[in-house]
Formats: sequence, C-alpha cells, structure tokens
Amino acid sequence: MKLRELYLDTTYIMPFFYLDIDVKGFSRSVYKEVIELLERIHVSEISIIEAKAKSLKIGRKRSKVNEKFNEGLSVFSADEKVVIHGYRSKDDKKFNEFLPLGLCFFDAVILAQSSTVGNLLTEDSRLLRLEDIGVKIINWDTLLREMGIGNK
Amino acid sequence: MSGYVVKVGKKGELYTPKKLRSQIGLDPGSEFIAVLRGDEIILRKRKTIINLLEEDAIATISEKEVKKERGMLEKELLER
Repeated sequence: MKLRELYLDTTYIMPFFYLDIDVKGFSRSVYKEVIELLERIHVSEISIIEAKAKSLKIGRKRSKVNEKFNEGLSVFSADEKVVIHGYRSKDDKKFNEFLPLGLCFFDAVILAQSSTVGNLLTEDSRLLRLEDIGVKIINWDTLLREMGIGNK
Repeated sequence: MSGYVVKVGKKGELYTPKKLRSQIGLDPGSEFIAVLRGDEIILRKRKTIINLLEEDAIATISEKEVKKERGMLEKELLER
C-alpha cells in the first residue's frame, strides 16, 4: 500500500512532544522512517489539547516537560507536512452519522475528522473493530506491514 | 571574537564560506530563522518534525494512560 497521507490519533502525536509511547514495536527511529515516507500527516486540534493535558500531568514530576511540549508544538504547527484539523460543519455532519456507533466523544470527533483523509492510525481497540464506515482504521503493526517497513 | 566574512549578492543572497556551511549543516534548501538582535543577525536552523523524532524523548507514556486521560477530559467537558 502506498500511503501518502495519514490521520494520527492522539497517541501518535505524543512523540513530537518528546514523549514516547509504549506501543509494541514502536521506536522513534522507525516512526521517523514512516513520517519521512508520508507527504502529509493530519491531526485533530482536540488531540493537541489532549496531549497538552497529559503532558501537564507528567510535567508535575518532570520540570522540562512543559518547556519541551511548547518547543515541539512550535515546530509541529509550523511544519508544512502537518495539517491540523479544526472542527467544521462537515466534521459535525460525520460526527452525527457516527453517533449510532456508540463511541466516546473524543473518538467520534477524531473519527469524523479522519473521514476527510480516509484513514486513521490508532491503538484504540473499539475503533479498530469498526468496519465499512468509509475510514480505513489501522494500528502500528498493520501500518508497518502495509508500508513494508521493518521487515514486517 | 572570531567569525566568518559573508558577502551579500545583488539580490540579498548571502555567500557563506564552505567551512561555515559544513559546520552548521547549511545544505541547499535548508531553512533558517533569522533573529535580529541590535546590529547582529542570529541564524538558527529551522527544525522540522523529522528533527523532533531524531531527539531523545524525556518520558514515556502508555496507551492506557492516553485513554484514561481521554476519559477524564471527556467527563470534564460533558459535565460542565
């Protein structure tokens, strides 16, 4: 599969804020390889707020976290490869369509916004179980296999 | 203070010595942020998201923690 654009769930924006994630098989160097191969990455603004909330909690124990989050956000939001999605009417229409799926609020917002791209990288088991909703939902393992990275 | 002589072209191009270019990674197409400080110009290499991933993380969080945070934020938002 030749992926050119990818929508990222909150977990996958954490590494840009100097926070690693415990996803099996994940490493910053492999993630770098993935990002280099993509033309665009898409994220929801709500994910940035989620990431900030999480980093604030970690920041209570580690002094550098808040400073590094800001540094990462400054680079992330200025990079031409990154598209940050605000919540628009078309997203709200999709959100309403997804209401019967019984998803939690944040999941539904991110899924609705990702439908404009057509795919979503997540580790959320509820989202990964969804089928035939117009969005290809994949996890890290599937992404690597389909992009032919790391001998998967 | 030692420094390099950088000449300015007709259209404002800065001609930098090779030694300086290799020292700071001034490759064709790379971008720098120019900061004016009095009569000084400070050139700072513009970072990309790829550069962010080349640096070490300062903490690790679990997928479970991300999910928990989402639940807490959602509760706070919907119960306001």
